[in-house]
Order: sequence, then C-alpha cells, then structure tokens
Amino acid sequence: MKRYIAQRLLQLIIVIIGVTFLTFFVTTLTPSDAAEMHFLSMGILPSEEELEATREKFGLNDPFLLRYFNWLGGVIRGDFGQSLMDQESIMTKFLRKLPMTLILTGATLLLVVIVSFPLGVFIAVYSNRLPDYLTRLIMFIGNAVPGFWMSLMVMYFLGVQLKLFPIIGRGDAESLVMPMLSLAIPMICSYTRQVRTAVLEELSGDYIVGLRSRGVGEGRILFAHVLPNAMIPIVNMLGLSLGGLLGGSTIVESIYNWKGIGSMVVGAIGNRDYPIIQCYVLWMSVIYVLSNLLVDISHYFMDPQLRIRETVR
Amino acid sequence: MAKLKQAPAGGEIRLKRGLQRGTVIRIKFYAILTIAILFVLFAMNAEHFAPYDPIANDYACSLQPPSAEHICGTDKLGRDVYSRILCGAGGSFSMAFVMLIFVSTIGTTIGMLCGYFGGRFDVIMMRFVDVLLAFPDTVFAIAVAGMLGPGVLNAVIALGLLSWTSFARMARSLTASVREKDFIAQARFNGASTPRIILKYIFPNVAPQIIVMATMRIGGTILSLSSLSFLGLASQPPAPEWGVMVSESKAYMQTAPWMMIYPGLALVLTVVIFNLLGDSLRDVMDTKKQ
Repeated sequence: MKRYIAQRLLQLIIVIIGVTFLTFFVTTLTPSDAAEMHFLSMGILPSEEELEATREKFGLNDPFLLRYFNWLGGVIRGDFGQSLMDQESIMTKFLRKLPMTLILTGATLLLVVIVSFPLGVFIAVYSNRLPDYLTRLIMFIGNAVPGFWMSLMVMYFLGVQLKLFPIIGRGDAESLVMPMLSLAIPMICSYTRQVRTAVLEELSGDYIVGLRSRGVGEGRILFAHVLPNAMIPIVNMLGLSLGGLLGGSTIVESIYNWKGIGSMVVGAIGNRDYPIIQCYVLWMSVIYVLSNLLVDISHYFMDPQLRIRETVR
Repeated sequence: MAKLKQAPAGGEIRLKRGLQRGTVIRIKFYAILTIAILFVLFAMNAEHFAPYDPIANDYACSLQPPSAEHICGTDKLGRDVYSRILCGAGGSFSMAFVMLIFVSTIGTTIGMLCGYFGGRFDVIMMRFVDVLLAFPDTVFAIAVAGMLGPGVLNAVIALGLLSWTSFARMARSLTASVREKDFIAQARFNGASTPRIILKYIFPNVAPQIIVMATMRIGGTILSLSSLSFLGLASQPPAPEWGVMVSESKAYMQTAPWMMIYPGLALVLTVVIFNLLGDSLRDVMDTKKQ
C-alpha cells in the first residue's frame, strides 16, 4: 500500500510537469500580448518603448524554455509569481479565493449526496414503476440542460420572481443557496441515475438469491449487503466531481459573482494574466491526481476483496 | 418493504421476451432517428421557415413580450426571438457534427495505431492521454479558447484538443482485443500487409463502437459549444446562436425573461433529441451483440 502511494505521488509529479509545460507552450502560441493588456487594463495606451520595458520586466522576451524553468524554480520555492494585472502575489490571491470555492464545493456535494442517494435507492427498489419512470424522465431532461442556462433560470425563478435570495452575491450564507442549487441540480440528475444503476446491478447478483433463500429479510439485504457494494462505483464518481468542483465551477461562479477560484480564472483568461492561469493549471492537476488517489484508497477500505488479495500476496 | 426484484423467469419465457425487447428497441431507435433527421433537415433550411430576418434590427418593436406576431417576443434590437432560435439550430448542430467527425477520425486513427503496434509509442501516447484527462473539459476548453482568442474555429479546436482522447482510448482497447483473434493471424499468414489488416480487418470491428460513442457525444458537444458562446468565446453577436442569445438576455432578465427562456428551451430540446438518439443506438448495438 505504501509503495502504491509513493508510485502515485511520483505520477503526480510527472502529470504536473507535463500539464504545466503544455499550457506554457499554448501561451506562447497566443497572439495577444500580456504587456499590452497590462496597460489597457489601467486605461493607458502605451508607447512602443513602454511596452518593450514592461515585456522586459515581466520576462516576456526570454526564450520559452528559460521562462518555463524560471517559473518551475519559483514554484519549488513556493513562489508563484505576481498577477500581471494588479501585481498582487498569486499565492495570497489564491489563498484568499480558495475558501469561497471550498464552501461552494462542500455545500454542493452535501446536497447532491443527501438528495440523490435516497432517491436513487428508492427508484431502484421500485424500478419500472411509476415513480421510477417519472424520476428518470426528469433526470434525462435535467442532463440536457446547459449549466449556464440552469444558473440563469434558478436566478430568475428564485431571485427575480420569488425574491427569496439576493441576485447579486454578497458571499454570505443567503447568497450561497442559488449557486449551490445551480451546481447541484445537474449533478443530482446524473448521480440518481448512477445510484439506481449500481443498486440494480447488485440486486441482480446471485448472492441476493442466496440471501433470500436463507430467509434474510429484504430490508437487511438492501442495507447490509446491497448498499455497501453499490457505493463503490458512486464513490468513484464523487471523487471525480470533487476534482471538478474544486477547480471552481467557472460558469456558475462568474454568473453569481461568487469570488472563488473559478471566477478568478475566468477573469485571468480575459486579461491574459498568464501567471494566474499557470497557477490554476497546477492546482487542477494536483487536485486531479490527489482525488484519484483518494478514490483508490477508499476502494481499498470498502472492497474487502482487494485487502484479502494483498494479504495473500 | 416491497419485494426487491423478481428473479428472471424460466429460459423459454426469457427468450421470447428477449426477442420482443429487441424489436421494441429497434422500433424506438428508428422512430428517434426519424425525428433527428427531420430536425436536422429543418434546422438546415430554417431560414425558409423563419417569419422574420434573424439579424435585422427593428427598434420600433424592441423588447416586446410574446404575442401573436412574435410568438417568442423580441429582443433589445427588436429582432424576433423565434426567428433567431430557428436560424440558430443549424449552426449549433453542424458545428458539433463537423467537430465530432474530425475528432473521432483522429482519435480512432491514433487509438488503432497504439493498440495494434503497442510498444513505446503506445505507452507515451496513453500517458499523454492521461495528462489531458486531468482537466474538466469545460474549464480546459475555456482556458484554451481564451488564450487562442474568441471565434468558432478556436472554440472547436479548444474542445477538440480534449475530446479525441476518449475515442483514442476506446479504439485502442478494441484494437488490442481484436488483434489477438485467430482471423487476424490467418490474414497475416495469408500475406496481408499491415495497412490492409488494420483497414480491412480491424477497422470494421472498431467502427460500430466509435459511431455509437460519437452519436452519444452530439448532445454534449452542442452544450459545450453553446457554453463557450455564452462566455463570448465562440460565436459572436449578432449571430443567432443560442448561447449568444442567452448571454445577451442576461441584462434583461427582469424586464424581458422570454429572451432567456426560449433559446434555452430550444437548446434543451435539441440535446434531449440527440441524447435519446445516442442512447437508443447503443441499446440497438447491445441487443445485436447478444
């Protein structure tokens, strides 16, 4: 197990180097100029000399590989550079935005689990009957709804029509509800389907027939045998969603003006603020590898077969 | 508590039900295919059905609510929302379609080569695919499209950079399993060249799954492209594109909600049709396999 974790951490380093190199390469291909954007954002039309001096200052004139290794060296020392827009240290900026994204992620995942697990189990037990058909129809349509439109509709009905929540985000608990719902509804749609499939899969297993023939009660079969096994694929999915949400749900965050990682990176993309984009890409790859690792470790604890295999070996 | 699930009935009955199920699935597939084809034909010729010019301004009837003349209302510039929705259908579909053909061709080619030859090229390629899969696709597409600059072509490139990977993965694993079959050894023994083996014997075994996968992706691709348009990274105003229309409507949410609601509904309807098509095509393939 220890060796396995070490292996995965090594893989983390490879993925990070690969991904950051790739994004660095993409930034060199772009036609727009960060130095120019720097002046334009302050409302100044720069002269050619000023542009040249700023390019020199930001190190934009250095060769591509030198810039990449300079950046990588900084990251190892814990220095992610400064934002090209407001000269703020990216580490400070990032740490200021992170709690907002963490709150939104936590609240969304909690809601998704609370709603979709019982619902998924329920429609699996009553599969191919009216509640099942109805829920599946809604879920199918829900899967086809674009995220940006979902956010706007939630905002329109709950914020504009019913006036339940503030339309302009203030960062407090009240403003959390609408972004959370906008993120959670599409996820609930896919999770409920997945839970249903996983539970049905387990219910059709031979061991269920065995349990029934031994006179084990239906409730006990469901809660003690089916659910623990059905959880494994779901935990897998939760790990992936966690990664996606921690990356900041770009669209929802920017629609609700939720000041997290996602809206930060959308702003940075618009301003060609490359150091921030780089930092974000780094964060994404760390999250991805770590959440995968977490999923694998949880399998180890949830699936006795894996543990037995290891002791036998 | 209700009985969880009935055990399947005896063999004979199961067979009979299986046949019936196959027929039902096939009928369902053809019905949805017909709807999808009609939709595409309609979308491609939408200009003839639109009652108004989708991009002509008419300030006299700006921000009108839905009425008999403008059944989905009008926008800020007095353009008929219904006509704009109709004319936006073709663009959404054809962008997604062209992109998927392109992406699945590249992915399948790379995947088949990896699966057939294996070795170092395969290992490097699959690690590269792993790296690309590290990103949630919309975020990656937003970043790349943002860096390349706004435009339909750039948006398609940005989405394409990630989406070929799943085709490559599937083509690779299918190829690797077909490669070990006896008929490939037979073909090689009879002197068939490597390109011939790949094209004549491996490709036909890979293609059906790839087609199913591509069909199932149409809906999702339309969604991703419209999200990029919504963020101002793909189609640009005044183009009658659904994402652009919803984006333009944001400022009028309180005064003219119809500008936001109808293009979104059109998008949902389109994606539902293509998701149904993908699912039912998969079901048909599954019953054939059995």
